[in-house]
Amino acid sequence: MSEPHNSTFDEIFSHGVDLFNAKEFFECHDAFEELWQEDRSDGRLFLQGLIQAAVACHHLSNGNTSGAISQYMKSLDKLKKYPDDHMGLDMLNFRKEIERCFDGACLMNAKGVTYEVANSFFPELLRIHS
Amino acid sequence: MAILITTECINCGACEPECPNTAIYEGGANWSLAGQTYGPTDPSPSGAVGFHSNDYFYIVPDKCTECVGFHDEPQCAAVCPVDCCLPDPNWVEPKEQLEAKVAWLEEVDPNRKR
Repeated sequence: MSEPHNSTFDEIFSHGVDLFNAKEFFECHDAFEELWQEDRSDGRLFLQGLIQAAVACHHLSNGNTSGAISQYMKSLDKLKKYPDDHMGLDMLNFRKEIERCFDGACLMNAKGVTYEVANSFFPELLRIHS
Repeated sequence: MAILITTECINCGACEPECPNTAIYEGGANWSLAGQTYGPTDPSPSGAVGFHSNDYFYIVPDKCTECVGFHDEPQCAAVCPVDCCLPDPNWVEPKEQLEAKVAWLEEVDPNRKR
């Protein structure tokens, strides 16, 4: 899928959400990073939290468990600063799901065991429909 | 203190063009200083080893001034979306030492700058 570099913020953001849910974590990080680099609003930290969530999942799916856990913790610290429903996303659900996903990774990493995650185990960014 | 890129790097490349000293290289690439090219296992002029990476962008300690002489803060850290450009605990240098490094780089490699 081509990157919508000339699109509006909302279009790129939505594209980033779609990429995350398609488990295209590197491409997802790219989309959100494009927005983060230009953003100087209060929402900049939220975008960075999403970037780091995508990178955490990318690293986890590539066997870089320690890097993944570190990114996950940085992500959660940022995302917790925002409301449960933010930018049209169910962040309460997302935080729960990413915690569930990474709880196992943290446990296995502490034991020095390689942790492999099935695609279906990664969290999704659910849209809130009004 | 030089800056270190950790294994959290996702190889987005945002940091590399921001470095005023051209101290950042893509994983696996050779690096250069004063017209000389160095490979993965070659020690730097100061004797530094082990900073090269085949997997992630890496920073050459001999060339990193933490942006002293150019900016108020390290630009790699400022543009890194994953916060993986951190002070290298193995290369602690006070500001005076970093200023001396800037002067040394100006002398031996004035063309390194962007």
